[in-house]
Amino acid sequence: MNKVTTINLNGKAYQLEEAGYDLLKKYLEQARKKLANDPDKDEILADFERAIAEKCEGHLHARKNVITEKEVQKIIDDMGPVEPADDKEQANAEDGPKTHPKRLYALREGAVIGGVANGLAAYFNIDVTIVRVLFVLLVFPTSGLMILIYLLLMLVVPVAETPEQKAELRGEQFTAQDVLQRAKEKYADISNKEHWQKVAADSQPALSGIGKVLQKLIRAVFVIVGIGFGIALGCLTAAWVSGLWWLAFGHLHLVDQLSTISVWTIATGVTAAYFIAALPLAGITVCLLKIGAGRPFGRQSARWLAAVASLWIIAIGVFAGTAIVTSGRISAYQSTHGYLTIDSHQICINDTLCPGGEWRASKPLLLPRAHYYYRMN
Amino acid sequence: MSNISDKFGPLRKGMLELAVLKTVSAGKAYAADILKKLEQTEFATGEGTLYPLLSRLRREQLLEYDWVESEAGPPRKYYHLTETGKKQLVELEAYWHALSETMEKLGA
Repeated sequence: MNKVTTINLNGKAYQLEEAGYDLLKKYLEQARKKLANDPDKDEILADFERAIAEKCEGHLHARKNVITEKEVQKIIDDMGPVEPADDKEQANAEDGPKTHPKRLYALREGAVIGGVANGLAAYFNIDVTIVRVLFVLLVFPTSGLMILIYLLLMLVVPVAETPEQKAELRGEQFTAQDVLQRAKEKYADISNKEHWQKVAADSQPALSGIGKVLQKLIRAVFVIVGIGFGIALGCLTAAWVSGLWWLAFGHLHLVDQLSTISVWTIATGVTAAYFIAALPLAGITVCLLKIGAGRPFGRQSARWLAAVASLWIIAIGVFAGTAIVTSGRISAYQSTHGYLTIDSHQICINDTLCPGGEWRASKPLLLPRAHYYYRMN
Repeated sequence: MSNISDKFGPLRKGMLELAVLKTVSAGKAYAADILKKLEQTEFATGEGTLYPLLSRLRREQLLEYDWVESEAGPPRKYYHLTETGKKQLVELEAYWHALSETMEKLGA
C-alpha cells in the first residue's frame, strides 16, 4: 500500500505514488536550477509539465488512475537530463496571472476554533477578523442558529491539508513547480529528503484547544444518535424478516379465505413497506456516522442519495399497488361472505351483515366508528 | 564502440541544432514528433534537452510555433522554420558538408 499524492500538471490532476512524486519534484527542481539563467525558463518548465502530463496519460486507463514510482522513473528517464541551451538574449514578456476555480476549505493555521472563518476569509480574500466579528454578531439576530451553522460547516467543510488545497482555496494555480518554488523559499535544504518530509508533516497545525474539545463532543453526539438510528433500523429489519417468515411458515390464515390474494402479493407489500421506512433510517444513520467520523461528503454521497431516493419512490409505488389490490380483494370477500377470517377468529363488521350464529361484540379494530363482532372459528 | 560514441559526444551535442532544424524543415512538427524522428538516430535525445533548445532557436527567430488543438488532450505547439531559419539551415548544411569534405581530404 502506497500513499498517493495528487498534482496539477497543465490544469489536470494526476495521482502519483508519493515516492514517484518525490522523484518528479526533484527532477523539476533540478530543471529549474539548471535553467536559472534561461530567459524562457518558465515557458520551458511549462513545456516540461505538458510533456510529463502527456506521458502520464499514457500510463493511465479506465481501470488505472495512479501512476507508480516505476512509471515516474520511466517518464523521467524518457525526458532525459535537462541541458540548458546557452544563450545570452533577453527574456520575452511574461504572461499575466491566470484565475482558477476556487474551493472552500477550512484553514487550520491561526484558527480559533475550527478554521472555518479562516477558510472563508481566504476564499473571499477578506480579513479574517471581519469574518469572525460577522459570525459573532449574527448569533444574536439568528437566535443562536449561527452557532449551529458554524458547527455544521466545521463538520462538513474539508480541511485544507496539502499546499494544492490551500492554493485552490485562494483560487491560485498550483503546479509541481510551485511546490519547488515555495520549498526553495521556505527551506534551504530541500534535497535533504528526511528534513523535507519532517517539515511537511509538522506543517499541518492541529485544531485549537476549544475547537478540539468541541469537535470531539459534537462528533460523539452524532455517533451516539447515529447508533440509535442504526439500532432502530436493525429492529425494523428483524420485524420484516420475521414477518416474511410468518407469512411463509406461520399459520396465519388471513389469506386462505381470500384465496384470490397470493402470499406473494402480501410479501411484496410488506417488503415495500419495510423499504419505505428503512431507507430513510439507513440514510440518516450513514450521514450521522459519517459526520461523526469526520468524513466529508463528496460527489459519491450525492450519487448514493439519488439512488436511495429513487429506490424509496419505487417502494412507495409498489406498496400503493399491493395495498389497492389487497383492500379491493378483502372488501370483495367481505361483501360476499359477510365476514373476514383472521387466524381462528371470524370478524364481522356491522351486525346486519353478519350471517347467522353467535357473534360477540369486539373493540373497534380498524375503523373507529364501525361495530365489530367476532366468533371463534 | 561506446568509447567512440563518447568521444563524439560534444560534436553530436553541437550538431543537435542542425539535426533539429533539419527535422523541422520537413514540415510542421510537434516536439514528440521531433523526438521520435531523432530516436532512431545518433541524435536520440529527450525533452530535457530538446525543449530548452527549441526555446533558444525560437528566441533566435529560427523557429516559430503555432498552438494546434489536438483530439486527445491539451493543445500542442507545432514548430516550423522561419525565413531566417531556412537560411540558417542552408548555411549550417553547407558548413557541415565543408567539414566532412575537409575530413575526407585530410587522409589523402
